[in-house]
Amino acid sequence: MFSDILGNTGGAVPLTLAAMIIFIVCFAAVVIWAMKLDKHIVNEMAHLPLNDGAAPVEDRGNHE
Amino acid sequence: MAVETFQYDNRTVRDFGVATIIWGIVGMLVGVIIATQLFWPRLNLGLPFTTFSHLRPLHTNAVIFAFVGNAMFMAIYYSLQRLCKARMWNDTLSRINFWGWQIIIVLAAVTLPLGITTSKEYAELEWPIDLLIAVVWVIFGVNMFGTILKRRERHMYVAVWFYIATWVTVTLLHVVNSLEIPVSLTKSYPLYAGVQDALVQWWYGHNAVAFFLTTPYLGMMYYYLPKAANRPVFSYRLSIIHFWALIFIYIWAGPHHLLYSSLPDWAQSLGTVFSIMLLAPSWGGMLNGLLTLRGAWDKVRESAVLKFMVVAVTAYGMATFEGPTLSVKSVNALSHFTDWTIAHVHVGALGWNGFLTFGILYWLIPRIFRTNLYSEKLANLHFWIGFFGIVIYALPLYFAGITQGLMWKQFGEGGILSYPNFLETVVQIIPMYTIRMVGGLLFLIGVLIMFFNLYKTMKQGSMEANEAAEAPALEPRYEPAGHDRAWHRWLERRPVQFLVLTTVAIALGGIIEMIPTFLIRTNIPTIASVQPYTPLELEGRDLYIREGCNNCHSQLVRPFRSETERYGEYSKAGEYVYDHPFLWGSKRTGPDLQRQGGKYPDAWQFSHLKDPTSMSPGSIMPPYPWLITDQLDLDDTEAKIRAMQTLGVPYPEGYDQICLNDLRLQADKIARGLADAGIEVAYDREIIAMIAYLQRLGTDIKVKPAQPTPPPTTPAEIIAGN
Repeated sequence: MFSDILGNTGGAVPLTLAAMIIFIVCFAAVVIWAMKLDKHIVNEMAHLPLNDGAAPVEDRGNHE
Repeated sequence: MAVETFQYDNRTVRDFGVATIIWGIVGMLVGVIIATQLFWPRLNLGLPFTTFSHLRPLHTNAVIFAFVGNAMFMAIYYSLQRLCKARMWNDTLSRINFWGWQIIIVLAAVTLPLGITTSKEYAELEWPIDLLIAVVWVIFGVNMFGTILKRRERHMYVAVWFYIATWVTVTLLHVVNSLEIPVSLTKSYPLYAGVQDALVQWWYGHNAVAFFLTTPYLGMMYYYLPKAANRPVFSYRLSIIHFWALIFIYIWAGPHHLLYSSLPDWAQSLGTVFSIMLLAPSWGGMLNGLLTLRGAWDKVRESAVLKFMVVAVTAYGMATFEGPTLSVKSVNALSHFTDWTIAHVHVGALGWNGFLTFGILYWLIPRIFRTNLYSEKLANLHFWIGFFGIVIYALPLYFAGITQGLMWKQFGEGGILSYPNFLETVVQIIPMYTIRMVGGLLFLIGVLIMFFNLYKTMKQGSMEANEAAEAPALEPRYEPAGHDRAWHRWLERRPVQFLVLTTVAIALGGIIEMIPTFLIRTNIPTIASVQPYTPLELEGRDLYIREGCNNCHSQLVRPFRSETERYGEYSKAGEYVYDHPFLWGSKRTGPDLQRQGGKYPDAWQFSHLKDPTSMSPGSIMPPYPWLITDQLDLDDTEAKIRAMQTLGVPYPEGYDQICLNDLRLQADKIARGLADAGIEVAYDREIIAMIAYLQRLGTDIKVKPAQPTPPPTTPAEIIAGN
């Protein structure tokens, strides 16, 4: 059956449509979830790079 | 939980940083040399390993895998430890990762100039090096996942997602595109042929850009831009959407490299559609980066680091706008095979990868050496020299590409090509090649300034190989509450499940494009008259690959009147079924060779290879005199025939035992023909095989006998009819 479907359609249409539908559903879910995300969580995650647990660099001045 | 103290590994970061700078200089220097050879071919000094066609893959590999590769490792090793609040999982694996990668680069630097190449762009390295790449890449992955698994930060930041996607996709791309049958230690044939090989190669080639040059750099942008600006990313929500949309869509876009080729039309259309869709996530990411600097633009005026980063993100935006534009068929009809593509690639490579790397180096090296940058002025000087270098590099190539593309298509009043001689279109753009070289040289000078500046920075500071840090350990049992129970939050806490979902997202596109192309026979219609190469032609084809002819010559006539008038019948999928690997090329510095067979006599081919300007005055093709003096190596011919039989090429059973007889018969015939034309050359010289191959090109469907005769069925019959 699989080869019949592929043979009748040039092979691309059903698989591509299935992938697009999966993508659109997943994409919509991610967008909706991201928009509803709690502000505190967003803030916490966005600040992760700024809080790396290391000591700040001492400013010793440079060549100029 | 109790606060734990631990140490970050800065030594590996430093080593990758130094390697980035050194290999960057090497790769860019080779780029300047080959850019010069495009208007001064004699700069090759008459040596094979310094000739454009041998050095061009060295340049691309050095810049992509040595410069960008080391920069990627440097940036990931630094940021991953801090985002996970954990030292890299295993120091020994870190050392193996570093030295293994450098060995791969050295092997590439030795083998590519020697002509040991698969011919597949950005995947030129032969099978033993492919295996080594796989081992080192897996070691990197184990070390990365080990670090993620023992992290002290509950949720993975978006940069880590991009690193995971990079690792899994590059693994998949490398394995699938490197499936090949070894003939000897330095020679292999890919499993795929013709159209299928082209599809796999450009699925790989495009996604090498996507997942080696882009996704790790997006992860780096999401970490280093906020760090340098000292403010959080503009929108974490947008970064989530950016990530999933980008990795899903990117993988489909490979066929846009094969528009108007013999690839099935549906696959070409898929490539175009997904390339255009790609604009949305790409620009989402770019805007997220730029808007991170909201309210901090005054810092850009002062900080060289931020200047580099801003231009890098802007160049990313420009390149990702241009990419979908070039994927529109009507635009691609003009741009493909021209220098427009080269300009596009370099806006991305010099602007996005180069400038983001420089910004990170200027930010990172002073930190791990516990000092300040030696000279901010020199860094700013580097920025401006590099910036104008990019502009002076790219603009002439846009002019060159559009000019030459239009000249190829120009018809005169009588309905004939206005520029039937390809060389006319080359001569027209040589001044632009000269200016482009100046741009590349400026960019290189900027890197040399950076080398000095960072060297002085390292000298004045002292490296903190093991940087002290502290963070609370994670609670072994975690009960999520509220929004933390949402499915994506769950995913952000589970690297293995995240890896699996990412794999599904990136695998779909490739599977859906490849399965029908491989399984449905009507996608690759066979042509009865297309026969396997004779042993001599096969050896000639391997010389064509060794000499890197495919770097400047395509073997793909597109179905345009301007091309069929210039070259002959447009290319058919069935013509390539025995081509392991395909040799369609991606750039026409010289004319297409698909219908080269029979176009000129053997004596013309001989003289042209000996000195191209003798046949085409003004040609920028370098001479290949060593083909006349070097003896054809026949040690592997029988093994090559056997490998081809394994791949399904229908040589008669036992043909490997007698193939050398046929080879000598055909070679002798060509040598005698050359002698009749006054050219004395022994039948066992390499040039004889090269001529045999060139004279075969495209003749399977080109020759139309007056009376129908049954097609030859064995290589011996083909030789007899040659």
